[in-house]
Amino acid sequence: MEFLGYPRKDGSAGTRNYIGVISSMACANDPTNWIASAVSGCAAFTHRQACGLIPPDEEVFYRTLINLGKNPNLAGVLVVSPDCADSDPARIANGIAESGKPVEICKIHQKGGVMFAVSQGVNVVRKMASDASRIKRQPMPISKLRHGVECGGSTPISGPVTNAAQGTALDFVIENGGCGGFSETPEVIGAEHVIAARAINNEVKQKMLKTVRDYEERLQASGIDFFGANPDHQNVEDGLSSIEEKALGAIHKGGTKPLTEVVGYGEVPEGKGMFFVNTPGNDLISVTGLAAAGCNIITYSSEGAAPYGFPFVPVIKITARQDHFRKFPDILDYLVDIDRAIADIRSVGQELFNLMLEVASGRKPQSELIGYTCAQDVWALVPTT
Amino acid sequence: MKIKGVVLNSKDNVGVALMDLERGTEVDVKLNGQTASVKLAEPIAYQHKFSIKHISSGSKILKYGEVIGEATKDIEPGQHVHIHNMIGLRAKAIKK
Repeated sequence: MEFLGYPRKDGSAGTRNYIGVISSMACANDPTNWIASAVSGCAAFTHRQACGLIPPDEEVFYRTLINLGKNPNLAGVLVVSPDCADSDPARIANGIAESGKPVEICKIHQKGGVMFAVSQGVNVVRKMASDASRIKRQPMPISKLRHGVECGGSTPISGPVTNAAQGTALDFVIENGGCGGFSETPEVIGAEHVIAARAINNEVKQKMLKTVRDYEERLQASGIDFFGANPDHQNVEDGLSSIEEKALGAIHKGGTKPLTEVVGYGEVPEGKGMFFVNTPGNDLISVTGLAAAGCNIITYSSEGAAPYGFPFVPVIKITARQDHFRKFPDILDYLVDIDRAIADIRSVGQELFNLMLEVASGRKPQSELIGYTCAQDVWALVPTT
Repeated sequence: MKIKGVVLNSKDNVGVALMDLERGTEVDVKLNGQTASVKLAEPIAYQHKFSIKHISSGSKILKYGEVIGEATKDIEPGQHVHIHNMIGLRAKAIKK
């Protein structure tokens, strides 16, 4: 079993072949978008972080941008930055260059002005995109597939149906030598013991429990009534009665394989099997966390029909709602039949896995077709100083 | 035929409605490989839970084979199980 992917110098494989245009600070977002939109085959990554990042956020921020740049779906990267003491584009570019792909920097403060800098940036990515367009897809083993799993808009049925469909597809990826995992730490609160019990050793188990405990303590310290707000009003109306019930449904998306690794935000798991990435529940930030973890394909179950995808990792959107699937043809990619999922989840997971291989080989999901890819931001714990 | 309801794990004492179900509906659920019938004591909305056996006040509610909370009242078979007669253990600990 294989998919058609783009070979990369570091041994990984891209399911896409974009040139990444990455903004180093939010003040460079507009020029980043202008440059990326001028040349076909470019994908812009922008975010809200700006000056004044302090530890530990500074470290998390830089490693996230570096590992986004290293994602195998990018053939080359241009880092767009202000020329200012608060932005260190060389740190980002040097980190990305370790992967062996071409990386350049475009500073928007230049003699001649911003638009002069933008025209220079356009020329750089035009050359990179031309070179990248000569790379051909070739057969790749499933071991080069890294599957990120996401969910949004939980209902009581998403656990055993759409999340279980994703989890079963993840099981197939892992059974065939690939890896993958999920994130969204607050969604795990109440079911962490179940995930932790699947850890391959005590170290991984303790790290999983600590990751969830730290998150919960941070929520409490900030004065948030997490258990008052979860399950929320809509959850209760839908039939979820407790945070435990919600979390036990959410973790179905992690499949049934042993937990091999727990990593922090912006870090890249080794990728030996199923892993967990510490992220908030905010979909924009958690999808970015999965992309920084090196995921080259993402599935996303959304009973609320979340409209967006990610700039350079294809996102396959899944629902169990027939009405949504009919009404929103340019949002949703795959409809899970509830009765079939209840009766035979393996066959549903197999079908989703087959769709993933098609998408990994070039078939475009809806969000990629219409360029609706704003699920992008970087996590910061502390408001900027 | 459309499945009316399902018990997700053989340890569970609740089932989940897979469509809006009226009071008096007989729901066939598979339990330990055997089919058992539960008569609903009240209407159960799509995705909501119904009890499949007697659950005494204070005892655990199980779904997915895991504890999702405990009963705050005695619950009879076929009754709706939700926030009016159960509470999550985390929420209970915080309230104390």
